[in-house]
Amino acid sequence: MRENREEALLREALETARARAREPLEKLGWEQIEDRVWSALDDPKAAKERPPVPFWLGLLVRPRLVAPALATLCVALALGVLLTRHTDRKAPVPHVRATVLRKQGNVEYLRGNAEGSKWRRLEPGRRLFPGTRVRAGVDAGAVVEVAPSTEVRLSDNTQVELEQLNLRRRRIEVIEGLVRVDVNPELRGGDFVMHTSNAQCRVAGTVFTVRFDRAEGVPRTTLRVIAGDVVFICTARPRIRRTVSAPGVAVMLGDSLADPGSDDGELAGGEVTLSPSFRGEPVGVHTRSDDMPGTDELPLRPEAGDPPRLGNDTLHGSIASSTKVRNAKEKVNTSAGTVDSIQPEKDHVFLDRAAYARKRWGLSRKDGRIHGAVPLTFLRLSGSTSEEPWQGEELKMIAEFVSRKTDIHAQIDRPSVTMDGRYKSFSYWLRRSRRRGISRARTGTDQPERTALEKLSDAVSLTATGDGERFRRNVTDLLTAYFQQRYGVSGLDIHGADWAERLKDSLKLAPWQEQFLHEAERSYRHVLEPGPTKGREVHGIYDFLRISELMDYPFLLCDPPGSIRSLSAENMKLLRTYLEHGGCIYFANHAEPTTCAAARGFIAELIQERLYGRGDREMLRRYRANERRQTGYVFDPPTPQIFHPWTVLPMILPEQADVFLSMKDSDGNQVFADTLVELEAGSYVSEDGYQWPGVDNEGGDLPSGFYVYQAAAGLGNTFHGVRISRLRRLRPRGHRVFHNPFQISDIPRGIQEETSELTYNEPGAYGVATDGYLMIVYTEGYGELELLRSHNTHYQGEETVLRWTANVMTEFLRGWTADGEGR
Amino acid sequence: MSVDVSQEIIRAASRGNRKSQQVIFRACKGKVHQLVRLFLGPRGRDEIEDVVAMCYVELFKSLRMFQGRCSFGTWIDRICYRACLMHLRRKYRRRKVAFMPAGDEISQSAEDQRPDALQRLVTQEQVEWLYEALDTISPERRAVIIMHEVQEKPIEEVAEIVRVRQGTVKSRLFRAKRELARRLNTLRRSE
Repeated sequence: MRENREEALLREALETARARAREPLEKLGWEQIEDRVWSALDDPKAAKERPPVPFWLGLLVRPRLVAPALATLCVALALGVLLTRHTDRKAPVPHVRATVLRKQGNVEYLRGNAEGSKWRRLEPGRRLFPGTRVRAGVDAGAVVEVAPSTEVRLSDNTQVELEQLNLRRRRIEVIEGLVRVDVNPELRGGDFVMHTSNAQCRVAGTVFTVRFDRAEGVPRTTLRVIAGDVVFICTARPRIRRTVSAPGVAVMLGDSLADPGSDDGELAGGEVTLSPSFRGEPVGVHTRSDDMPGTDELPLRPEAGDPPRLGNDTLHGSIASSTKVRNAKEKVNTSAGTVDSIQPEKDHVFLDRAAYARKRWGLSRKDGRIHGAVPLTFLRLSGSTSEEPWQGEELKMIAEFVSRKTDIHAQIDRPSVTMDGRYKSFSYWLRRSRRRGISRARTGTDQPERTALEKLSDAVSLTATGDGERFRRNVTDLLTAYFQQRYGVSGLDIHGADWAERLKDSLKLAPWQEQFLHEAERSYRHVLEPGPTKGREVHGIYDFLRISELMDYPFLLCDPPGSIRSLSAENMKLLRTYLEHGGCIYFANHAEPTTCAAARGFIAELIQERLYGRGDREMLRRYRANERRQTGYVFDPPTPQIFHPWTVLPMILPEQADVFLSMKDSDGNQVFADTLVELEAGSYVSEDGYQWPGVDNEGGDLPSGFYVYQAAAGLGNTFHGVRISRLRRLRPRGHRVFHNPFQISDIPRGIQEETSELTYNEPGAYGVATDGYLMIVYTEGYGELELLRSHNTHYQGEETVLRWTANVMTEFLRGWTADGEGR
Repeated sequence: MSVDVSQEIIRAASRGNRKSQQVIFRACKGKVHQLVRLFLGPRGRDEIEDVVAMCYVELFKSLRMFQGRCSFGTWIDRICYRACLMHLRRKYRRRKVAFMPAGDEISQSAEDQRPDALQRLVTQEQVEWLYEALDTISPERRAVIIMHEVQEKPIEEVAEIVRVRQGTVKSRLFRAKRELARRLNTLRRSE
C-alpha cells in the first residue's frame, strides 16, 4: 500500500516535470554568455593544453589531501612502532586460531569439507583454522590450545571439529570419542561451547570431559565434570533414561520438551557425573523415586534448597534433578487450578479464564443449570505486578447485566460471583456486558465503535435465541442497507457468489476497503450456512463496519472504552490500517493511570514493529528464549515508554552478579553506562526494577532516535535495539491534523525544528511520530475533569466520563488551533 | 530538439574558425539551455548561465575529437551531460541533508488572483519537491532520471550519452526511481 502511494507520488511529480519541460524557455543573457565563451577560448592559458599531471604529483599538489595523507602516515608509523614493541616482548597466542601443543601417535587433520580433501599428518606447532577437523587414531592423542590457557585434549579414537573460533565464541563439536577440556577461568563473558549432535554444554572456568559415542546406533553424550560449573543443555530427545545423582549441575531441557509429543517421555538428557573433587556449592538435590512424581511436587515458587530459578518461564527447564517429568511445559497442576499455557514473554502467568470457568462450573452442572460460586483467584508469579484480571467495576457490570438480561441471579461476594441460572461461559457474559455497556452509554457521542456495534447488535443478539433464520435475515438486511447508505448501491444482491467483486468493479475502492470487503464477504458466507448460530460468524462483517466507520474520522478518540481497549489481533489490524491512511489517534491524560494502558501498549507495539519488523519478532522471541535457557540471564529490551520520562530495563539474574548496562547511539558512541555492583539474584522486571530516565551520563535528555542497549552479567551478554520516541509539543496553530479538509495554505514554509523541550506534566497538546509523521495526539494538563464538571452531564460511569472528556477536548483543540486561542 | 549543422561547419569550427563557431553556438542554444535547465532544476536557476557557458567552452574545446560516429545532437548531449555532472558533483559533495525553505513563489501573493493560480502553485510545488528529492540522490542517477523520464529519451540513447551499457542504465534508473519515490513520500509527509 505504501509502495503504491510512493509510486503514485513519483508518477505525478514526473508528469508535472515533463509538462514543465515542454514549456517555453526563459530568456538568458546570451550576449554575455557568448562573450564569456569566446574570451575563455581566446585566453592563451585556456587555449594552451596542460600536460597531464601524474597521479602521485596530483596528490601532493592538492592541499586538501595533504593533511589526511600526513595523518594516515603518522598513524601507520605509530601502529608499526607499537606492534614492533609488543612483538618483541612476547608473541600473543592468537584467539581465533587453535595451536597444536603436543601429540602422540597418529593424529591427522582435515580442513574444510571432508569430501575431496585428504587427511594430513598433524605436527605440533601447527595452527588450526575454524572448520578444521582433527582425529586421533588408536593409542594416539593430542593437546590443542584454542585460547590462552584453554586446552582441549583429544584421547584416542576421537574426532572433533573446530567450528567457530572467534573472540566471543569458541565452539568445538565432538564427532566421536572422548575429549577433556580445561577452560581458562578468565573466559567469563565469552562462551566456550562443546557441542554434540544431541547435547551441548556451556562452561566457564571448568575442567570437564565429554564423551560422544554413536556406536550403538543411539547418540549418547556423557559429561564428566572435574571442577567448576557447567550448564548442560540437551538439544535432542534421545530416550536415554538416566538418574542425575549428584549435586552441582543444572540440567536444562532444550527444545525436546517443547514438542507436545514428548508427553510421558523421560527426561531428555545424558549422563552427568561429578567427581568427588567437585568444588562448586551444592545447589540442592531432590531425591525422588523413579516413579512418576506427583505434579504437585513441582513448585511454582522456588523453595529453600532449590537451584536458582532461571526465569519465570523456565518451569520446564529449571528442574535440577528430577528423573521423569510429565510434559512439564504443557501442564502444571497447582492448588489454585491448572496452568494450561505458559507465556514465556510475559512476566506473569494467568489462568485461562474461560477454561478455568468451564472447569469449575462444569463440575456442578446438571440439566443445563448450575449452582455454585466461582472463586475469582488467579495466579501471579513472584516479581509480577500484574493487576487482578477482574476489577470491582467489571464484576459489578457483569452482575448487573446478567441479572437484567437473564433469569440468573448474580450476586457479588468479592472475590467471587455467585450465579444461579442457565450455564453460560464466564467469558461470554464478560464480552456481552462490555459490548452492551459501551452501546448503552454512548448517547450523544459520535464514536465509530458504537455506530458499528449498534448496527450489528440487534442481529447478533439473536444468536442467543438460536433463531438462525431471523439472524441471517437481519444480517442480510443490515448489509444491504449499509451498502445503499454508504456507497449509494441500491438493489445489491448479496446472495450471489461474487457480489463483492461486482461492488469492487462498479466502485472505486481503496485497497483497505477491498481487503475488508472480502473479509465481510467471507464472513457473510458463514452466516448463510444453515444451522444454529454462534455469533462468531459476523466477525468479518463487524470488522468491515468498524473500519468503514473509523476511516471517516480524522481522530480516533482513544479513551479506554474505545476501539483499542485490548491489543487483540483484530484491533491491531484495524488501527494499523487506520493509521497508515492518515488517521490520528487522540487521547487525553487523566487521573487514572491504568486506563490508557491499552493505547500505550498499542503505540509501544507499533514502535517495536518499526524497530524489528513484524516477521522478525518471532525469531527474536525464540532467540531470547534460547538465550534464557542457555545462560539463565534475562535482559529483555525496555518497552518503549513515550509518555513517561523513564523506562525499566528488565533483567532476571540467576545468581548475584555485577551488571553492566550501556547505551550506544547510532554512530556507536557510548552515551550512557552504568554498573550495578553485586546485584542480588532475582527478577527486576517491574517498576521497582532498574529505571533508566532516558538520559546520558551527564544527565541530559537523549534525543529521539535509535540506540543500542547492551546488558552484560556473568554468562549473559545481550544487545537490543531501542528506539526512543519523545513527545513533541505541537505548535499552537496551523498544524494540519486540526484542519479538515487539508488546505494548501497549511503547507509550512520550511520545517521549523520543534524547540520545545520534553516537558512532562506541562499543559499542552503533544504529538508522537513513530514513522516520520504525526499519528498520535495526546493532551495533558487541561483539567478535563473540571471541564466535565462545568458541563452538566448525567453520565456517571467512568468510561462515559472519559469518552465525553475526549470529545470535549477535541472540540476544544479545534477551536483553539483555528482561532489561536482557547474557547 | 535536433541540431542542424553541416559537417563542413563542424570541421571549420574545430579548426578555430570563429564564424563557424558562432553558427554552432546559435544552433545549439535551445538544446543546451533546455538540458542544463532540466539538470539543475528550479533551485539552480541562478547558475544556469554559468553552466551553459561552461558547456559551450567544453564543446568548442573538444570539437576536434568529434568523429561523427554518432549524431552531432547526441554528442552535444554528452558534452552537456559531462559539464552538468561536474557541476552537480561539486554541489553534491557540499550538499546538506536539511529541509531548505521553499522559495517565495510558493506563497500566494495577494495580487495573484487568476483562476489557475492555485493549480500553478501546486505544479510549482511538485517540481520543487521533485528537485529537492533529486538533490539527495547521486548525480549519475539524477541524470538518467532526467534524460529518460523527463526528456523521454530511449534507453539506448541514454546509454550512448552516458557511455555505459544499457543494463547499467536500467539498473540506475530502477534504483533512482525507488530512492526518489521514498524521498518524495518522506518530503510529502514532513510537509
